[in-house]
Parts: sequence; C-alpha cells; structure tokens
Amino acid sequence: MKIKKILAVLLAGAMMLSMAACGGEEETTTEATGEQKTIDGNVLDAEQYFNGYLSSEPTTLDSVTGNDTYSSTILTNTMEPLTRLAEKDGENVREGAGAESWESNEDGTVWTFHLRDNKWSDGVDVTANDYVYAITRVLTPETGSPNSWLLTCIKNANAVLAGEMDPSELGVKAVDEKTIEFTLESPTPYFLSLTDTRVMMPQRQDIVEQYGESYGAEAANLVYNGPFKLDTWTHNSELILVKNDQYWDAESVNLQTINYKIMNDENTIFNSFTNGSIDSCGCGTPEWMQKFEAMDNVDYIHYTSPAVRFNFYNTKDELFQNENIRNAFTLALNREDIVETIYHGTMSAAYSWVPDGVSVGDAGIYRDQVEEPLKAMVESEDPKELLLKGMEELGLGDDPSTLEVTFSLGGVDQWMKNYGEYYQQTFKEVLGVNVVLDFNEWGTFQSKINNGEYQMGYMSWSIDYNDPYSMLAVMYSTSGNINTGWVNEDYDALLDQAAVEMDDAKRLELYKQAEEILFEEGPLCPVVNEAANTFRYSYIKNSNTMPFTSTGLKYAYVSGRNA
Amino acid sequence: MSEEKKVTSATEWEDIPAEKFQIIGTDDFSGDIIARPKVGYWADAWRRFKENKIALIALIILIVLLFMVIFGPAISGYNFEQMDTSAINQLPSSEHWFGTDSLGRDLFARVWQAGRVSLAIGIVGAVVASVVGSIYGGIASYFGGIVDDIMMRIVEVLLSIPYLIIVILISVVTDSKSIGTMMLALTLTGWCGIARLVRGQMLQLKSQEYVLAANALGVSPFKTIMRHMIPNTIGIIIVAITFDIPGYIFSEAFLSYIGLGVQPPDTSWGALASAAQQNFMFYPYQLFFPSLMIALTMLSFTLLGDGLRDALDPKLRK
Amino acid sequence: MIKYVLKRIGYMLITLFIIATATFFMMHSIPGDPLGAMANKLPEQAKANYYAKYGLDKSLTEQYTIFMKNLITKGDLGESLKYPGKSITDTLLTNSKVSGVTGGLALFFGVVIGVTLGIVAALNKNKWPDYLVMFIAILGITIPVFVMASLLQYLFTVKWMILPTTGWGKPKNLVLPVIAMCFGTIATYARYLKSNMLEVMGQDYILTAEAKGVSRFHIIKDHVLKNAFLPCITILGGQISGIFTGSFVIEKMFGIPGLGFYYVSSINDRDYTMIIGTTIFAAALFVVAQLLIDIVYTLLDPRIRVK
Repeated sequence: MKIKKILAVLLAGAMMLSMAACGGEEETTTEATGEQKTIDGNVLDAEQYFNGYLSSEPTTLDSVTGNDTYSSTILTNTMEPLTRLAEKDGENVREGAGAESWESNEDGTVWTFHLRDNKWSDGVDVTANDYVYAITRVLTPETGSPNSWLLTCIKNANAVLAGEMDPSELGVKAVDEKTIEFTLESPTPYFLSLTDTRVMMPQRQDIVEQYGESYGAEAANLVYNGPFKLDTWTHNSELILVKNDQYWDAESVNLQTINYKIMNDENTIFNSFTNGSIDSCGCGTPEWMQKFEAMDNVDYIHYTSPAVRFNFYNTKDELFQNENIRNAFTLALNREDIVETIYHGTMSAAYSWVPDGVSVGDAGIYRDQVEEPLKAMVESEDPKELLLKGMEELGLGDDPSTLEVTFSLGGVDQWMKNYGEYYQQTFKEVLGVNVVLDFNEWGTFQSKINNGEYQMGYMSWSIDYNDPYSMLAVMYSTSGNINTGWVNEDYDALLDQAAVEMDDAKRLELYKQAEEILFEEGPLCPVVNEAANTFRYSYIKNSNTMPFTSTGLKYAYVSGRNA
Repeated sequence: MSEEKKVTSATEWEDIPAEKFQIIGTDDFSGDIIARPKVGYWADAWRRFKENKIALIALIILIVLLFMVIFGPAISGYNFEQMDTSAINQLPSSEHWFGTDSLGRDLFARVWQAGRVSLAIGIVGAVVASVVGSIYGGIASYFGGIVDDIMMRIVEVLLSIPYLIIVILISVVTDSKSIGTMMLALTLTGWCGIARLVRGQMLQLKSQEYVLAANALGVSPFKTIMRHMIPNTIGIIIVAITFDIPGYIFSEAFLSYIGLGVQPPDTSWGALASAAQQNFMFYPYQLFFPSLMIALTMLSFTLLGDGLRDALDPKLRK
Repeated sequence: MIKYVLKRIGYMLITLFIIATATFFMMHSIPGDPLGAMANKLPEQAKANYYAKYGLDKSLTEQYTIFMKNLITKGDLGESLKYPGKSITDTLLTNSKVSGVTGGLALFFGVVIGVTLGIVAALNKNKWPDYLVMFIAILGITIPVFVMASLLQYLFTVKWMILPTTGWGKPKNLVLPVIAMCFGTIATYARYLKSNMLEVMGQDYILTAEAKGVSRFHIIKDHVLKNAFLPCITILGGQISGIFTGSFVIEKMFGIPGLGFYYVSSINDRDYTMIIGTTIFAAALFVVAQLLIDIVYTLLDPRIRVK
C-alpha cells in the first residue's frame, strides 16, 4: 500500500509544474448540516451530496431553445415548472410546484393556475409573467424553439408559429402577479401532463435579454428558482449544483451539493461506480450487472421505460407496400430470444405500440386494460405463409430466396453491428430472405429515411407525455415523424376524436381501435420496450424509482455513506 | 637498386629488338573484368538478407500467418458467420480453440477469416501509400521552388479537411461499400504523411555530391529520383511502411466503425478487436487473439523491414 | 530569410482559404442537417423557424458569402448550431488550452522517453537492449489507445484506488491520460530515431570523424544525433497541431474537457459552424507548424539553404 501511495505522489508531482499555470486548486467542499436530522428512521449523514453523471454535455440550459435529456436533468433540479409528478407509495401523484393550485372550466378549454410565493436565486419574486414570458418565447417563430410543437394546443399557437399572428394573441395570459390563464384551441385531455415539462418552466425576461444568445450557455448566465442552482459548469467535464436557499420548499431539500460528471464511456462509468466515484449508474451489460448485483450495499432499480425499439417499413417500397409481407417480417422475429440474446434479459419484449406504464387519465394504465395486439397474431399466423401469400399478390413467384431486402440502421457501433447481424440471420432462417445490412451514421440515416430511400429501418421512440396519444400521434398521416408513407383515414379520424375526448374511458376505447388498425396494416414492428436498469448505492435514499416522476433529486438524501 | 636503374634508363629501351614484341589481340570486354564476379544490387541485397537470421524468422512467421489465413477457416470446422446463441462468450476449449464471441460464433474461424481482409488492406494500403508518397515527396523536393511550394500546399489542404467528412462523402458519392471504396478512402490521404517525410529526408540528400554528379552528367530528373534519392531514403520509407501496416489495419477498424469498412457478415482483425473492447475485462481472450495477430504481423514486418533496410541500403554495401 | 518567411505566410493564407472553402462545400454536401441529427420529432413549422434563425434557409453560395465576410472582416466564426449561445472562437480557445496541456505533456514525455530508447537501441544494435526497445515500440503501436486507457483506469482507479477515475483541474487527473497518450509517441520516436541513427552512422563523414580520432561520445553527440533528429522534426511538426485538437478517445474516457470532443462530434451533429471552426483552427496550427519545421530545417541543416 505504501509503495502505491508513493507512486501516486510521484506521478502527481510530475504533473504539478504544468498545472500551476492553468487555474488553481479547486476542492469541492461540502457543507455540514450541523444538527442530525432523521427521515423515515434513517439518520442523515452530516455530508449531504450526490455524485451522478450525464452521458453528454447539456446543449444549453435555456429551457426554450434546448431539448436534450441532459439539460432536462439539470433543469428539473434547478427550475420550478408549474407542477411536478412525485412518487408516493409506488404511484405518481401530481403535486403543486410553481403553482399551488389549478382548475379548469367544464369542457377543459380554460385552465387557471395559482402560483405560490417563490423567489429566484437572486432574490427577485417569481411572477406569473415569468411563466407567460417563457411560454410565449417557445411559440415565437424567431426563437426557433424545438419544443414549440408541445404547446400547439394553446389557442392561436399554430398561427403565431407560422408568423401569421402576433405572439400577444396567444391563449396564455398573466391575469395578475400570481395567476396564469391558459385558453386552449380545443379540449386537450393530456394538457396537465405538459405542466411538469420544460415548456412550463419560467424565465426572467430581464436576464434573457441581458445575455441574449448566450442565455443558458454558462452557469452564471441565468437565474434559478428550483430546489438547486447551478454553481459551476466546466464544459464537457462537470456540473456542480448547490442547494438554492431562496427556494420556497428549501426545507424539504436535503442535498447540499450535486456533482454531475460528464461520462459516456461504458467502462469509465462502470469503473467509477465500482470505486464509488458516482453513486448511481445505468447498466445493461450482463457481466457488469452480475458484478454490481453481488455488491451488498447496492440497490437494483428496474422498470420498463415508456420507450419502444422497433423496425419500420417503407410502405411506398415495391415489396413493403404489401401488408402481408410487412406482417411476415414483423412476425418472423422471436422477441423473447432477442431479449435474451441481444439485451441479456434487461429489456422486455414488445407486442404493441403503446408501452406499459402509460396511463389514460383516471382510467388507469392503458396496457392493463388492452391486450397487446401482436400477441394474438404471433399465435395465429405463420410468417412464412404470410410472406408467400404476399409474394403471390405481388406476382413475385414463390421462392423467398430471390428476395433481397435492405435493412437500414442509424448507427455504426459494435452493438448495432451485432444487432443487424442477428436480424440478417433470423430473416434468412425463418423466411429464407436475404437481408443486406446498411449501416449509416445518424445524420445520413435520417436523411435516407426522410427521403424514403430505404426498405426497412430501425429506430427507437420514447413517449413525450403520459398519454397513449403521444405514441399514437406519431403515425398520424401528417405528423411526418417516421416516414413510413403509411396513411389511414380511419386511424386519423379515431385520433381526431380522441384528441378532444375528455372522458377517459371513452378515450381509451378510441385508442384501442386505433392501435388495432395500426397492427392490422403493420407499418411498424415493435421489438422491445426499453427499460431503466439502474444500480444505486443504498445510502442514497428517497430517489426516484419510477418512470415519469419529475421531482429530480429534490427529496433525495444520504444516510450511511461511509458506514 | 641496380635493376631499377636499368629499366628506367631511356637508352636501354631502344635496344630491345622489335621481334621480341608479339601481338596478342584485343578483347572489348576483358578491360572490364574485375577480380571477383560482378554482384548486382539485388543479388547482393538478397545475399545480405539471407545472412540475417531474425529477418528470416520474421519471413517464416509471415508465411505461416498467410497459410493460416488461407486455410484456417476450413481447419476450424465452423462457419465464421454461424451464430449459436446457446454457446455465447465461451472460453477457448477443445471445441472452440479461440472461444466464441457474444453471438456464439467460433473465434478461431473468425480470426483467420478476418485476417484475409486485414492483411490485404494493410499491405496494399501501405504499399500504395509508400509508392505514391515517395514519388510525390521526391518530385517536390527535387524540383524545389514553386513546384515544391504548390505540391506541399496541396498536401496541407488534403491533410486539413476533416477525414470523416471526406470518408462520408466518398461513401455517399460512390454509393458502394466494396473493398475498393474502402481502399480509396484509406489511401486518399494516407500517402501524405510519407510524402512529407520523404521530402524532408530528400531535401538533405539533394545537396549530396552524388546527386550533384548525376545532375552534372545530365541524368534525367526522374532517373535521379528513382535511382539515387529513393534508394537512399529507403530506410525511412521501410520504417514508415512497417508502421503503416498496423496503422491501416486500425484505420480499417475506424472505417468499420463509421460504417464504411468491411461489411458484416465479413469481418477484419480491427473489427474483431473493437468488438471485443467493451467487455475485454470479462472476456480478454476475445481481444487477445485478434490483437495477437495484429502484433505478430507488425512484429514480423518490422523485423523483416529492418532486414530489408540493411540489405537494400546502398551505403551498407561492401 | 525574412522574404522567405513573408512569402510562406502569404501561401499560408491562401492554403487556409482553400481549406475553408473546400470544407464548407463538402460538409454541406454530406447528407443530413443539424436538426435531423438532434431529433426528428419536429413539425415542419418548427424546422422552418429554426433554419431561418441560423440562416440555413438561404442558398449555399449566400451562406458562404456571409460566412467568409464575417470571417475575413471580423474574424468571427459564428455560434454553434448544437449548443445555442456558444461562440465558436471562445470554445476553440478554452478547450484547446486543456487539450494543449494534456497533449503537450504527453508529447514531451513521449519524445524524451522515445528518443532515449531510440539512442539506446541504436547503440546496442542486435543486442538485448535493442530487442527490448523494439518490443516496447511494437507493444506501443499494436495496443490500441482505448485498451491501454481502460487497463490503466482499471488498475489505478478501481484495483488500487490511488487516482481519480475522471475529472479535470488537478494534477492527479492528468497522470493517467498522459501515460495512455504518450505510449504511441514513445514507440514512434524510438523506432524512427533508431533507424535514422543507424543510417547516419553509416555515412562517410562519421567514418572520417572516426578516422580523425574524434571520441565516440562526440561523434554521437555532434554528428549522429544532430543529423538523425532531422526527419523526426517532420513528424514532430505533424503532431504539434494534434496536441491542441486533442484526443477524442482519451478525453472521453477520462472526462477531459478538451477540443477532441468537438472535433469528432461536430461532424456527427452536423454542427456546421463548429465543423468549419475546428477545421480552420487545426489547419492554421498545422500550416504554422509546417512553416516552423521548414525554418528549423534550414537552421539545423547546413546543406539546405534558402534561396
């Protein structure tokens, strides 16, 4: 041990000289909380800090112009949206955040939010105008916000975005200092589930105007009104959050410091978790999972995320215009085997488009009430027969080996290679079809798909808000989200109806019918539902274990880190 | 002493009677006859190469590698692309000599199959780059002045445009992912480094006396570059080639990484190595075998290169 | 000499202009755009607004004219398309400093160790030190950087726990990345220096010096080394710009906020302003290094004379 230490000192010493020139020593200090506090019988450590990681640098902390998940992680902890979804006894409960209470008129077209007293990190009061300003910014065409589509339910939003109307005509108003009123284009059942996302976070007009384009590009270039504030941002290396004492609910916030290191190399992340440099990590590699599971002070948090990995077909393609051929390829896959071989049991097989965990308002979890459509099809149909039937309909003879299908993938890493090769073999074995793999880096892939220069592709899609509509609307004929070329008027009509149906049970029924049509015609081929596989040291308490929860680390605390 | 005096005495020459002289005839070639048989440049090089035991061993290793690459996949008894999901990530055993990969494919078959691609790319790439680079660098340095300026600026431009952009463009423009496209992408800028190296070395040689002599005798520039300057740069070129071979093997892995390299189900050593990278702490053998082959290839080429340099270097001729 | 340098600077500017122009048109002709690379959930309207904001809706020649005008008249490289509000010039300056420290140290240690090993090998040709050096050199080149880095990381931060896994700002953060990075450099210089020394030692002037009875030490120091270094300078020149553009793999593994990240990711992100910014920056460093090499060459080698 002694030798190792000496070695370390020597090595570090060699670097000393050169480093002296570039910035002084900076130790991250953690304040002691003083008195001992107890929550649920756990004595809180004197040092309350959390070390996490982000897989990539947040693009910007301007909640309006950015839309990546990394900035969302930071914003959830540093900004106060109107509401938050909090985890209570295994269920998500919507609680007031920036807003204390809210109500809507009878048909759900007018929503009023009453703000609570809260302060920005510079001591200024948070007002209704701050929220209205940010929302208006999202919908102003000049901002070029990538999040504007989320708010098109607001009255006149589309016209404003198109530059046909002045932003002052928008259906969002500050009635007084503490009251915001939304007027919607039509009843929008999922409106409340937007209120905890980044489009409902406030911004201070004076600060935004002061920094202009560089608002949110540095830690100092914005003010915060959430549980934490960003203290240091070393780009591409580390973000340090500290507790925000001006926060209205500062009492419930236990952590004093949150360190987010930027790491995106798997080995680095797993090594860091093993030696305790980070307190939590996501892991889907079986070898590492075994290792972490064997550690007795580590919790394993596993839940299905509302995201689907799927193949999709170009329905304008000569071959895939035929629905039997599409279904043959969809049914040729053994999803259980894929889960085992490709995902090592960490994800779950997907037999439907709407993933598990998504609920329809008060009617509960959608998947608990609607059978997954592909399950029945797998049992009743034979993929090879479907293929031959389709080939006959297209006049392509009866020899599948004459077919050559190109499978386009938007990635070039090793995992994608294995994935593609697995499919190549499967389609050959089950259908007798030759598959050519076409690996592209993402930009090229995107452009191929958008131009319809593909036959079969692979992608993943994650839900944006907690309602099946978010998934089903992707296939609406004009959405242009996934360029399958698939158009079905009945499907569109059902979605149009569901979009304004405030009765949850009726809406659920409409979704069910729409999903059935989607699978009869089969432009999509869901393969697996993504899952969160998180390992977390058990001294981190009260941290999220469910999807959609949006409290960040507000309620988390540390108990027994060095025990 | 007295004898010498006799010979040098001019008067005595006149006393030798003419009939004592005899015409023996002349032979056009005999004038050039040297005491020992003429040994050509290449013959001499080969002779010296044979004496270098280490270089010979390297050559043998290379031949063995070549043999295995050709016949190895057949010896294994497995098809290199056959998946077996019931036997994934198996350690080397009597059944799978090098173990299996994450899709249960036999690594022994895969390593040799991969070697075909890698060796071909490494050798062809390095040779093309060296030849083009040497000639280019040679011309630039020989002519100097404006020619050198322009040629070197072209190299700078080529080296400065991001490689990734060039590669993506090639794949888009040619819309093909054949080995040929890959070779084009690899060699397009690959020769630039050697060109600069050779130029640097030749600037030195240019003012050497023998180049001056060749110039004075009116030897054509091309011949001077090929016959005098390049052989004298051979040492550095050979080192560069031996470095380039693994360099190309790895570059190919990079190209595979961005989707332009060898296409599945085909594979290469570089592709195998990068595939094994993620889990090499758990399955070190998956990384070890392809890396070992790359190292062996590199080692053999290096030693062979050293032997060749010693053999080919005109200055070391005795 | 001054005239020569001025002429070269003139060439440099032309070269940079050509590089910028070529890169500009090439990067716009690869498929995809910055929005597509981010996400594809956007409705047409939002996309149009975004393009308008960054001037991407204009024709390519128009965009080119605007870009060149800003670059030449104001030295302005614009703002990142992926990271709103981030000035390209600032990013280049801040991050290249970080890369410069890591890369500079790695190059320094790499050259010193590599040159030493090269000399040892050359002086002991075909004896065990030579083989040992050769072995190290081959290892240094055949073991990919990422493997080396992972191994070091595992040993020092997990097994022995004596160094931090990732981070930036403290000297101990530099240890592992520098070691991992200098391996390849050591190998390169050891091999080249050995080869060059052997080459020079066969030259006539060395023979002459030996015949004149100059001591072996002086021959090596004054004649052999000086001449053997020359080709290494070419390699060094090529690497100097590489120091500041950073190493993507090493930065990624050890969480170093260098420039290498932007150099690679900007292309995947189709962050046009960042692509062209990093390219011009790297190219400028490269051509300046070339000029320096040529000047050093003329200074070191009496046989080369500038006309």
